Amino acid sequence: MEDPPCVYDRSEYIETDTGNKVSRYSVICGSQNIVLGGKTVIQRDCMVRGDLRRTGAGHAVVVAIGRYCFLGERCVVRPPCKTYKGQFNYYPMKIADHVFIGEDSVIEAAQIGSYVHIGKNCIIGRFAIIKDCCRILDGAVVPPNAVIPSFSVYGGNPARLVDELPESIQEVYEQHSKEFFEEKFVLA
Amino acid sequence: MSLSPAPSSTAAWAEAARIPVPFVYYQCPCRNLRASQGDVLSFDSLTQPPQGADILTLFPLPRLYFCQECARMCCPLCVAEEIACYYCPNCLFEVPTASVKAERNRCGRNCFECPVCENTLSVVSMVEPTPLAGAGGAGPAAIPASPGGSSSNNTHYLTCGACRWDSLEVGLQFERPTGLASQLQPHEDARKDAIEFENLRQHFEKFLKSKDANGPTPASHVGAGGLLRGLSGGGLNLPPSLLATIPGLASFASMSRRSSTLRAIRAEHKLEAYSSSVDLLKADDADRESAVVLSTSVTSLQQRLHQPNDHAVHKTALYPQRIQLRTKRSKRCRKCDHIVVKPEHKAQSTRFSIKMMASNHVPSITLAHPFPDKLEWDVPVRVIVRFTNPLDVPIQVALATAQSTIGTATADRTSQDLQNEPEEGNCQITLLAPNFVVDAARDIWDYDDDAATPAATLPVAVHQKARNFCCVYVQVTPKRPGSRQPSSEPARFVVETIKFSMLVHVQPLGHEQTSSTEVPGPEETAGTAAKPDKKAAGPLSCWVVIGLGDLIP
Repeated sequence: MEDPPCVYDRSEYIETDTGNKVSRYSVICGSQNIVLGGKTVIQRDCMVRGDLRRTGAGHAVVVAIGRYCFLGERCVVRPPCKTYKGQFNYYPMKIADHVFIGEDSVIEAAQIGSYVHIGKNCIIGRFAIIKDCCRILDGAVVPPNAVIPSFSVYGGNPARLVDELPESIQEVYEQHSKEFFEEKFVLA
Repeated sequence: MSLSPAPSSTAAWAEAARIPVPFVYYQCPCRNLRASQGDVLSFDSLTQPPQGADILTLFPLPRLYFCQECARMCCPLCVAEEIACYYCPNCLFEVPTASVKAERNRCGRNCFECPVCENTLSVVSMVEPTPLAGAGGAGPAAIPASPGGSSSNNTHYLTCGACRWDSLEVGLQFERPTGLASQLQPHEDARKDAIEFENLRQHFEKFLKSKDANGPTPASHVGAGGLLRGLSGGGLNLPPSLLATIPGLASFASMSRRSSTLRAIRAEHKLEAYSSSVDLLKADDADRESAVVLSTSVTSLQQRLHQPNDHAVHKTALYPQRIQLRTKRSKRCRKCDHIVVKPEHKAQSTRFSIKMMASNHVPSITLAHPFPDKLEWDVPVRVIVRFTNPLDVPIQVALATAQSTIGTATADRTSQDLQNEPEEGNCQITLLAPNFVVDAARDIWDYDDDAATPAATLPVAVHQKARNFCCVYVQVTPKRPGSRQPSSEPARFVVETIKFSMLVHVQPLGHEQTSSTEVPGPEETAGTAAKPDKKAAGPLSCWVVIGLGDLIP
């Protein structure tokens, strides 16, 4: 079953030079610390916290998101934090290419690889590492510091290995994300 | 309910495996291959529609492989798997095959699994060992160890970030934060069940060794593995140690030795009685009963199965386990032994040196929009089915349904025949476009110049045709199952999945037809050179099951 076309209003989205589409109704804090790779869609009521940066002077990338990513409605992307050697600090977050994040998910991962599909209502705990080609089922709660290796399907609370993905999943997710951006995300 | 002689097989099918609707699943031909015993798929076996029992051979296209030697699809059930490498899913270190067995398929580094919730445990330091006070506020933000200070005073323990279990609950502390598995090793070895196992092993090993010392085993064995035993014992006189070095034959080598010694043991009856040195596994029934009453302290079945040594009943006996290793596997076609998938050996790599997927050879079939709003009994709806061609040549697609088998006489059939009866489906299908051509796949920038074919020039029942896809209409009329089987009990609150099977025949059309219309550019020649595996193949047929939605009969 193909996804239905997602119709949007031109006035709702800000389009950057590299083709990112960011909803005007999303909350983007500290935009100077956020890097979007291009052709990434951030939908309405999302929150990306680029202002939660490491203490200390200087410019730092807090949230790096790659190409062809999709952040569904009401997502929260927040860099992970911890107290290390008596000092509380935020640490940068990296999201690679072709990452789909469903509605209402909260992401505090340290790293999310390419070709990752995160379902709706997920919670990705602090400093979790999700490698390439993974799938997180709807409603999964990935505990802090978890490592999810490639070709895994994780689900449940706390999330554990449920299944393995087929070898062709990279092409499937790549085609899905490209198709969405080029064809399914259409002007009203 | 399911004991009735011929239950609505569709309902049984839907209940047995709930494929979420809507879906398009392909049938792997492997079941027919086995039935026909032949090398090639016969016409009969190919044109036999999927049956209710064939649910296990239905797969979504991304899960299917393609064997080029046999020119057929392979499902995960009809490929043979070989382990290419072992790695720990937490630290992602590759474990050499030689040490996998010694470490009992678990990570020998610092990776532990929570005995309560199976989450990964993290190591936390604590300056002073205060077991009870530390348990309260434990977490990753616990009192950090001073960097250069008196680290010898520090103790370390494991804590779970998900359920807040920590190893102090079972009195487990470590002196150093690294090499936890080796620190835990003496403790593991001191367990009663481990000692008992070791005692048993020694008890039998003593005996086995004495038998081995009695001389080489005679070569005249008969029975399973006789050839190999002959190789090792007589004929070629290969020592078992040599056999053991050959990966696939190691088990044979040990088997031959073990079975011969066991026979000798049986003959001589010299095995002395074993008396256990540790009082183990004598759980007090009353104790167990009281534990069950106070059910909060009893482990769940899942937790118990994760404690392979003693299947602990009490929660206080739950121990952290080293994390089980995962594998990368290469896959072979079972019929011709050719490799269809071969991963790179590096644990973290997601690349494959060989990857033959069906999605590169078989057109992908999807249900396109607009999708019918709702399904109703006896109301025809039109479904748009999209065929996308992955090959670099156009393909001719021919469709057929299993409708012709419906309505045949059932009077002289036995119940066996009824079970083998083709899946009837609960809807009537009209293929409006049984034959059409799908254009070749090209690089994405080649598509921009030609727009979709105007609707006026399209053949009948073709909804849309552009690039490398073609959308055709299929008319579907859901038919109430009651009309089919009036004998079955009337009120059954089972949801019927409206689905139908369709035979798809794909005939690639030659290169000649395309080359005349295309101007080969430099990019294109580079593109075709880069993907040699997409070469034109022969005709291919497969059954596809399409599920549209659920209806209550």
